[in-house]
Amino acid sequence: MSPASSTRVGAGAAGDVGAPGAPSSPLLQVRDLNLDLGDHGVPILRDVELTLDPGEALGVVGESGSGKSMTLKCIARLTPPRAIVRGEVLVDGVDVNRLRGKSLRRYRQSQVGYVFQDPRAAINPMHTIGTFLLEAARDRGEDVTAAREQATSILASMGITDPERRMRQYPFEFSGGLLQRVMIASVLMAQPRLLLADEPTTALDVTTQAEVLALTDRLRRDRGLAMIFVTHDLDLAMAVCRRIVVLYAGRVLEVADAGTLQTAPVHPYTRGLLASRPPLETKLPQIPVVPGTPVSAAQAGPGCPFATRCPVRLPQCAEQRPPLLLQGRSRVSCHRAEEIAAGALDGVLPLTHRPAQGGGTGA
Amino acid sequence: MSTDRPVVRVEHLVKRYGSVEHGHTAVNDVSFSLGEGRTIALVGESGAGKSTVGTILTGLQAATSGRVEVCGEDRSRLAHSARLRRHRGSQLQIVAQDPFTSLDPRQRIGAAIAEAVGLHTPLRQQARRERVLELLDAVGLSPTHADVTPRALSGGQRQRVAIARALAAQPRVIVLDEAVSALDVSVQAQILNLLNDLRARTGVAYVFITHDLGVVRQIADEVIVLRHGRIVEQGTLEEVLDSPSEPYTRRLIASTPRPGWTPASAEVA
Repeated sequence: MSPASSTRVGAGAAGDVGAPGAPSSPLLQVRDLNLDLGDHGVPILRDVELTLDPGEALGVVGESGSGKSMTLKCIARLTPPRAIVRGEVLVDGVDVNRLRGKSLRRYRQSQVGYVFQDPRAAINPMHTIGTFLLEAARDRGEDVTAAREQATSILASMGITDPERRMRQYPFEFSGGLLQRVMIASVLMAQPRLLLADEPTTALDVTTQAEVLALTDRLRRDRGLAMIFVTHDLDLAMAVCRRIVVLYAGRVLEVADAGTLQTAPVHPYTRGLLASRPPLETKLPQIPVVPGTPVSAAQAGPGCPFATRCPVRLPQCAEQRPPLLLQGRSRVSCHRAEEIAAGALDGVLPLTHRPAQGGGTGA
Repeated sequence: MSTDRPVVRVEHLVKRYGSVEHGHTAVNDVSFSLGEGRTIALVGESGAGKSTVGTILTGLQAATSGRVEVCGEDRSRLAHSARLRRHRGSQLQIVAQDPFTSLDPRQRIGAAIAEAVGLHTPLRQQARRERVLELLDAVGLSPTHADVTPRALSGGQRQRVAIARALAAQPRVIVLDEAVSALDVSVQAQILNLLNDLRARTGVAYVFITHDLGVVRQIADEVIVLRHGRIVEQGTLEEVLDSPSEPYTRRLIASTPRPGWTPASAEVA
């Protein structure tokens, strides 16, 4: 890592790192984000809101059709053609949706870094790793020699041995885990403050996944790099993020600290999601299931999108959408949040078969 | 039938691609046996050789050397006739990972299952239709699903259809190659429960190929850990997951996310 990069990034965010609840202004604020796609305006996201402090790791968890990837694409302004976006995406107070031309390019190049799920699909197989890493610097007309030095030191800091030789190689000569590190390195080249990671480890083996996540966690701590981690795996999100947003059918159903979510999840969907993950430690006679299949925003009715699958739904749930309200230490969108939090519905809702260990999470 | 005779016996299985000097050995000296109604999990990371073992069992490719027996019959070489292939198919069936590509998009679900019933049983017409309805019911689908094409089904429902097709042959063994990996968590649990339930009811044995140790815990009796085509560790579920003797197995377990887990805890192992 070059000294210049570490001072610049470090100075901006060092004060905020690891200081939860610091009254600093948030790095990212998403307010009432709505997204419709295609000629017929298929709803994808509805009233999504997120806040992210500098240096914080936020998990966005959901199943297929929940809109988790599209939320990231809205933040990076990488929405597909004919997308209709309403609402605000504020990065350092600037609405990303208003950026045009050169300022939009600069935003995508240097303020946000995007890590895609499959590095092999995201990196051009016809170019060397070096060309890929130096592309942005060349585009900006910067000193390529300095950029090359920076790339070498970043690769080295990520545990890639002999980086000069590696830069002359092609993607096919890299394993999936190494290539994902290259993608993260390419993001770090621009020294962004926000890393958008869309299932960054889903295509990787478990041992590699742990290594890559340990790396992003170190980057977050050392460089104050904030991260939004999109995943379908709630356990994984709780392991690497401080706060978690649970999305379903394009809507936020619950927001809570990882620790709170683990010990006291409130929304019936969150409870179901936690319970249905096959546990490593114990064999269950029957794994608790959420009946039915996930729906998308387009299929959801006027009320709570989870109403059709919810074991504790009331007649009003299908009709009236519950607002996202504070319940204990979580914010929950559920008409029965209070009863659930009081334990009144524990007989009907799946119990999370979590071992009662005191071990807190990281981040 | 007595249980002392295994339904699957694999001895010193080797699969090599390319020449001896420059080739790649995908499976190297793998041996195991599987009793009636038991489940063996083949676990490991990409390139470990799990799926290669599965395709050789299925008869989609031949072994380079070694012996592969299903119900006492050697199938290390490919079936030379359609009749033999069908006969082998009625003993062992496969369910593939991706339910979005494993079904014919233009074929109605009822017809897809009826085709499998027709191939492997003498049932005709009305009896066949009744069997299709039985199979739909067995995998938790309704009779109305017979009239739709895969397009109308979710991933979990498609995987149920794939399981129904496999069951149509009334096989002794089903190879499940990452059969729940592509499913959403809430749906994955439904399919795992279904598989456990079907095994209890029919006495079918499973060769369960997966990289997910949480899933292994819920379904397997025995576990084989593969790495670069070789067996690293082999034993009962409890032996392998609760007191693993090999460092690689310990690393796999330590890398698996669970409550209280952090990426750093994987490095300790």
